[in-house]
Amino acid sequence: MFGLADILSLTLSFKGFKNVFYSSVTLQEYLLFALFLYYSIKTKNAKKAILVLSLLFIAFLAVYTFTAKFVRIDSIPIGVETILILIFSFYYLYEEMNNTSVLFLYNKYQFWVVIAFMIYLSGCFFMYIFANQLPQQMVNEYWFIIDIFLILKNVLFSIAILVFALSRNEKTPPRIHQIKALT
Amino acid sequence: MFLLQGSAPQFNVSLALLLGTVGMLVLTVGLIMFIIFHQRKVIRYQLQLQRMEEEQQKILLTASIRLQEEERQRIAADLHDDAGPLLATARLYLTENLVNLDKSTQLQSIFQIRQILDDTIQLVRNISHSLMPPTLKNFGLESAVNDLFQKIGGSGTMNASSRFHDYKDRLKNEKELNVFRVVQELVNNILKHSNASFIHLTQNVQGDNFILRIHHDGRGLVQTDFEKLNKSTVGLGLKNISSRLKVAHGSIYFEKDPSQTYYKVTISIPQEDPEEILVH
Repeated sequence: MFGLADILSLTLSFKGFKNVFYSSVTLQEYLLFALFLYYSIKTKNAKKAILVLSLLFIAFLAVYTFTAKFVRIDSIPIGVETILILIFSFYYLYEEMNNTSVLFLYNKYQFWVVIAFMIYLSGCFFMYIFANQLPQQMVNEYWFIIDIFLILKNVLFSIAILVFALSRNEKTPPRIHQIKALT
Repeated sequence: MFLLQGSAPQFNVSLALLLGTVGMLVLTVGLIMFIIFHQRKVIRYQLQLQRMEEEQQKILLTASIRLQEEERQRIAADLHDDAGPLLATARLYLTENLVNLDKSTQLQSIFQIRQILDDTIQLVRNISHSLMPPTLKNFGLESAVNDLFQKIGGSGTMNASSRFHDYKDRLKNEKELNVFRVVQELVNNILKHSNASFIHLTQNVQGDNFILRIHHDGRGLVQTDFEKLNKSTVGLGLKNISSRLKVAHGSIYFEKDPSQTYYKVTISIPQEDPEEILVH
C-alpha cells in the first residue's frame, strides 16, 4: 500500500492537477502511516491523540490545498506530516521500550515498518522543505537524496515483510499431514 | 564538488540541506539506537532480577524441605525413644501375666501396664499437640497465642503477655495456622537467642490488614539482618517464616524501637487474599 502511494504520486503528477494530486498523495501517505501507527500503539489516550491530530492535519491540508500557491510540491504539509509521523513513531518506540513482554524489539515487524517511516521521513524532510526554494537545476541535482531514502524505506519494508512471514511460520501449528508424516 | 561550483546563497542552501538531512538522520538513528540499547539493558536487568528471585525461591524451598525432614526426625526420635520402650515394657508385663498365674502378681502387673499405657497416651498427645495445638484447631488463633504466652509466662523465666484488640473476624484456618507457626518461630528465637526479660504481643487491624506486633527487650534483629540471613544458607527458621508469610500474602518487618530500648517485629497479613478480592 505504501508503494502504491508512490506510484500514484508519479502518475498523477503528469496529469496537471498539481495542487489536489500532490495534497492527495501527502494525505494518502499520512493516512497509511498514521493508520499503521494507530493500530500498533496500544495506549488509548495516544490513539485518541492520533485521531485528533489527524483530523487537524486533514483540515489543515484541505485549507492549504485550496488557498496556497504551489511552486513545485506541498512542502509545508509534508513538513507537518513528517513531524507528526515522527512523533507517533517515537511514541510507539517509547511504548515498546517500556513493554516488558517484548524480548527483542527487532523481532517485531512493526518495528521495521516504523524504522522505515522514521528514516525515510527524517531523511527527506529537508529536501522536501527546500524543494520550493531551490532552483530546478539544484532540485534535480539533489533529488537523489529522496531516491536513496525511498529505496531504504522499501528495503526496510521488505525486512518487515520477512520478519512477519518468519514470525507467522513460527506460530503456525503443524498440520495433520505433517504430524502423520513424522509418525 | 558541486557545492564549490555554486554561488554563495546557493551554497548556503545546499549546505543547509545536506547538514539538515544528515542531522535529522543522525538524530533519528541515534534515538533508535538508544531505544534498542535501553530496551536490552532493561531486559538484562529483568533477567537478573528473575534469576535472583528464582534463587531465593530455591533457598526457601530447600529450607522448607530441610525443616520438614527435621520435624520428621524429631517425631521419629520421640516415637522411637519414648513411645517404643514404653510399649515394649507393657508387652513384657503382658507376657509375664500369661506365664505367671498368681492372682496378686497379675493384678500388680495389670496396674503397671495401665500406668505405662497412660504415660504412652500422654506422650502421643504431647507429640500430637506439638504438631497441631488443639487450642488453635478448636478455639482459634487468639486462644492458641494466649495459651502459648501463658505457658511461657507461667514458667517464670520471662514476663510474657499477649493481647488481641480486634479479632472479631477470624482469619481462615490455613492462615491462622501459618500465623501461629510464625509467632511460635519468633517466640522460639526470642527465647533461644535474645536473652530478653519480657515479651509482649499485640494484635490490631489496620484497614484490611491483620497486624501482629511482638516487642521484646533482648538482643534482636533489624530488617537488614533479616534480609541478609534470609538470603544466606543459614537461618532455617527465618526462611520458614518467609515462606509461610509468602503463602499468606503477608509481610514482616523487624526494627528497633525509636526509643532504642525494644526490638519490634510487625507482621501484616491481608484479611482476604488478593485472588479472593478479584473474584468478588
